[in-house]
Amino acid sequence: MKIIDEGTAQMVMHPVRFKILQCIRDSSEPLFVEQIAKAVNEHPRLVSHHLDVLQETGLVNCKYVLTKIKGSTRGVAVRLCSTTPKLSEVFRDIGVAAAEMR
Amino acid sequence: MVKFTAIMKFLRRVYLTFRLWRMVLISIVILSIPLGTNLLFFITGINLLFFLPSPMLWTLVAAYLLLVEIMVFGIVKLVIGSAGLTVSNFLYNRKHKPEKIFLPHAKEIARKLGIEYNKPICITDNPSITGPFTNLFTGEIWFPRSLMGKFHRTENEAIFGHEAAHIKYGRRFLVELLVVSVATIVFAQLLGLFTTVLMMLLIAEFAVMMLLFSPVLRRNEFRADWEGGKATSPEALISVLEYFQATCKRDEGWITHPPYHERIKRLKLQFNSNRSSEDNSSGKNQENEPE
Repeated sequence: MKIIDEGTAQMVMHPVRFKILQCIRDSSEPLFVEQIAKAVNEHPRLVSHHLDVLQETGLVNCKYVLTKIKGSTRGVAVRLCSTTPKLSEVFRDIGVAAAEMR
Repeated sequence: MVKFTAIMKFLRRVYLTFRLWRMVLISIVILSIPLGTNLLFFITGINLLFFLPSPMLWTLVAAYLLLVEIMVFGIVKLVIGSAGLTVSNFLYNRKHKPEKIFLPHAKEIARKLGIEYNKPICITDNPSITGPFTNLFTGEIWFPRSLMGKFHRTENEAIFGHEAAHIKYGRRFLVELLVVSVATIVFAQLLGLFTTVLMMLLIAEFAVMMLLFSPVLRRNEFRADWEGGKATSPEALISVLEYFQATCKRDEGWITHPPYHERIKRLKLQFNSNRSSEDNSSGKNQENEPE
């Protein structure tokens, strides 16, 4: 299977990465790192690390946008994350593989 | 309340130690060797001491202590399970040569740790090796191939950092083990003055040995985690530990290794220490949360 050969499946099979992907996929709009961290109950720095890995694998798109922070008049760059079309393919393939194993 | 929790923790450690009943049996059998020589030495040795010239006496005592030490290390290796690993690896490598590769940032990581490391890491296909390990005597770092594919490059580097930290503190660790094993022998000798029941002596020596060794071995892991995390990335190392935590049956730890949740908790302290130092240097002091 392609996702296993190219190593994508192995990257997705990490428990926290899988939760992050599910969180981003289920959200109707792109999410910030802090929002993902709260949703998956992990430290933001840890979430950032997993997003780096997922971005390198091509499952997540990340871009920095300027937004206002509480108590500040200046804009601050925050990381906005959304899924890529590859993610739905990977989830579909994992579903197929799981069904075959059963 | 704090004292009660500490007692409970201690009792749990004792329980975890003695749960390994197979190890206890093996150790009792093998511990009879140094204790047997102990008894032999005391039965025959005391008479000999009066006839031997001083240098010969000290050579004999030194040789005897060395022999006991080698035996104790052998027993410790057996008890912590690394003896099986060493034998299995030796037998497997006779037929299947390990692949040797250089990690891209290995030298840099080693330099951050304050050591020189110019060796390649050994990748093995041995199915009985399920985790990375370090040979302290040869300074080789071993990775199972099955594990390398599961992690990202940065996470493999973090594992390397952890193992390289073991090499950095290898000598200190061996000295700590030596001190503990000498303390165990002294304890057995003292106990031997009050009891002649060999089995009781063996069990007591084993219990003391495990209770003394476990904190030393666990501290060594915490130290390697901390140094490895600092030299590479604590996030990557936590990610690796989280993977192991999710795949293990029960996160209770082992004699040598603390539970994963404790290791993760300690590594997360690096986030705060790093952040506070960054904040102090850049003057930042606000939560990065969007409105």
